[in-house]
Amino acid sequence: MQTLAVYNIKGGVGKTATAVNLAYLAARQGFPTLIWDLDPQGAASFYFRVKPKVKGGGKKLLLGRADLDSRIKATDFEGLDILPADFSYRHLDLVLENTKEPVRQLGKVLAPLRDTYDFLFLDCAPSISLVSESVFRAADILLVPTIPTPLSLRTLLQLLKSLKEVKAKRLGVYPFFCMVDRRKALHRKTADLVEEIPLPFLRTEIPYSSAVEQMGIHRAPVHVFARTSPAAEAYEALWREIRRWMRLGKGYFTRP
Amino acid sequence: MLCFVLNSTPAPEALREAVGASFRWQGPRFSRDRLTYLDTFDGALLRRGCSLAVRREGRRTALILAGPTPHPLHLRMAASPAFAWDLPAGLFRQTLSRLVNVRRLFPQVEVHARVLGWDLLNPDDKTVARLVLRQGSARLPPEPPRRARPLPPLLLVTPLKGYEDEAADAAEALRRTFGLEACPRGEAELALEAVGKVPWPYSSALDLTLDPETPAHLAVRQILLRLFRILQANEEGILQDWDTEFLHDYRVALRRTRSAVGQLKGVFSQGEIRPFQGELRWLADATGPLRDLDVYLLHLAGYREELPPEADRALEPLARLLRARRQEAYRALARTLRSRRYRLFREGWASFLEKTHEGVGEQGHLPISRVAGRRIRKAMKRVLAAGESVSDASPPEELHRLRIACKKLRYLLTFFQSLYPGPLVSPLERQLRKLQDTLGTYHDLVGQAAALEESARELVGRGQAPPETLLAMGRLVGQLETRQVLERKAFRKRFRAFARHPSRKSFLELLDLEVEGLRPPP
Ligand SMILES: Nc1ncnc2c1ncn2[C@@H]1O[C@H](COP(=O)(O)OP(=O)(O)O)[C@@H](O)[C@H]1O
Ligand SMILES: [Mg+2]
Repeated sequence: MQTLAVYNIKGGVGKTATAVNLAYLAARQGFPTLIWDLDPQGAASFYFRVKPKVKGGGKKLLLGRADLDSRIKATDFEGLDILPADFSYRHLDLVLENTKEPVRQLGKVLAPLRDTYDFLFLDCAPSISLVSESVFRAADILLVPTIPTPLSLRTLLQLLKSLKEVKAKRLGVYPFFCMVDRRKALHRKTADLVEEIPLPFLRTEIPYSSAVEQMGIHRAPVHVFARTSPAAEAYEALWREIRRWMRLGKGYFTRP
Repeated sequence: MLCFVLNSTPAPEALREAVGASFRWQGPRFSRDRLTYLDTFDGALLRRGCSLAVRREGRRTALILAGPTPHPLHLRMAASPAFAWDLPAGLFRQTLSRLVNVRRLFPQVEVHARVLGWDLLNPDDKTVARLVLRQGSARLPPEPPRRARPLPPLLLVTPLKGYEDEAADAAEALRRTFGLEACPRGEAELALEAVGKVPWPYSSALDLTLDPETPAHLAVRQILLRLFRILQANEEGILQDWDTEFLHDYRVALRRTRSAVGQLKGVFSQGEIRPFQGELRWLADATGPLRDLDVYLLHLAGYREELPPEADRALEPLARLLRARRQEAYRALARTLRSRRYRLFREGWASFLEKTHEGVGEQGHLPISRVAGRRIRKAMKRVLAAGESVSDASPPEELHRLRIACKKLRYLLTFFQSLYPGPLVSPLERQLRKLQDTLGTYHDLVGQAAALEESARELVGRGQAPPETLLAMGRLVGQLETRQVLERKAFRKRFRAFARHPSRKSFLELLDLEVEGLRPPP
């Protein structure tokens, strides 16, 4: 099983849209896939029409006291399951703090899923915390959707700095641009600033697209209702590119 | 998934009414479905209640594996696979591999169906269960459509993970309204039945029930005849080179045959059985080289999968050499199996086995339980003696001798287990199998390491061995040696488990009684 965390310190940058659409594509290729909606706001659960509720709450789950499998729900799509959000996920930090090895706890909880899924997507809440640190340790790949503005690039640099501090040597970090609007001068210019980032971006960009916005109305991945939209095609290209890097066993690692 | 077999097709409205108003219905969606069910020669899937279907979807193919996991697995591919290893790495392949191993998948039966599907939705419009009505017909893969036989309509209720209660409610309502019973068999089995095909006609198991009072020569003929059928069943697969298990099963049946003939030769007249022993040995020699190469190639494939791409490429010259040799070995064996000598052997052997009066030796008229008891007792004592004398310092040949002794005993137990109480023999057989697996693996590892060294010299001799290749082969030999050490360690533990097993002692006591003619009443 490969664990892909979709993460950014900032909110509203397209993390959930990315996790939902990529997980859908992975499952559509026939790989049993799970998406864990770690954000208490439950956007991913909403897109899949699943109640943002987990029996017994997040604490039991994270402490390994609840049977993970029985909390998982099938989405409407073959091979794609979801572990829904729960309002109690707001306090996951506190739960982790009281464990013996806080940053390893998440990995331990995820271990039994290895034989059930090929891909696990973690749709993370924004913020930098003990939870995100655990995610860095548990994941194989960190997908970082980034809006092309100078401010976002600074946030990305911050993230890379903090990644150096946590021991996540084997984590492949894959930033990519999303919500790109080529008509905006700012977006065009920022793309030139990329030089300053010490690791390359994925080549694929996700354009700003009304189809993605409509996911909230259709409550479905973008491919379900706008198969030929530029955004749908971009997500497919993104998934192909990620898969290629994964197959080669090479990522853009935090340390060269 | 729940499957109901219907007598007639219900009207969609009737279904809807039966399930009631607790769900919102979406559908029906109408589609036509063309499925081919695949299975191995020995029915590895259907035998276990699993099924693998290939569905054509335009230019692409969808695979559906149902049974081994709580919910069916799906995979899209360009073409139908012949082996599990044709699939991309992942859970689907892993799950399928565990069931079929190295066996080839053959189309078994084709189903064309008209499908009506409904999604049952909850108030959030989330799908919580699926209902499918299939009306199909079945035919054998090469037959034209007009030969298709109709299948009874099937009603399937598929739960979605995490929403099992909803599906159970819907199924319960359908059962009540239409008076249905859930059918444990799936569509694949029903389809095979419709076309008059036995789902898994072949098994390499020797499940015979012998009568203890049968004259020994007749009982042994019965065993040999069953083994002969297994030999015959595998001939075509070897000649067509469908997969490596045909030869494997053939060799197992051949070894068992030789072991039975050798260990029980007193039941036949020497003059008649001896020529067959010669022919059986000839066949064992003729089938050996191909099997050895199959084993090397399978082992090499497994080993290469764990290597980084550079090291994997370095082993390509070795793989090429082995493949070329395998091709030669295959041709030689095919010539043997098509030869006049082989045909004559088969005819002679069949007619010998079907005789009921001729060729009987001095022990042939004793009851089989007497003859078997004596042999087993002797073989058991031999295993114990050989096992005790093996130490960590023993050379491979000594282990090899022990392995042969174990094999003989194991074969005897396989032939005659129906003569003894199951609870006594089964654990012994299991222990012995484990012991023998360890010894067999050890023997294979020694053989493979030697063969690799020989191949290395050959590659060097032909000037086809760049240093990377030799280095990679060296690492492979190293890995084989590490495993040899592990197997030897495992052996000691397993031997003790066998020798000290409580059933082992009770079984010997039982045999003592029996051989002295004092068998207690059952
Ligand atoms: N490529 C895009 N084009 C247009 N709108 C987008 C795009 N990606 C995301 N959005 C919208 O932006 C908002 C935030 O996206 P979301 O994926 O929920 O971000 P996050 O998970 O990072 O908070 C949502 O309303 C979503 O519809
Ligand atoms: Mg989000």
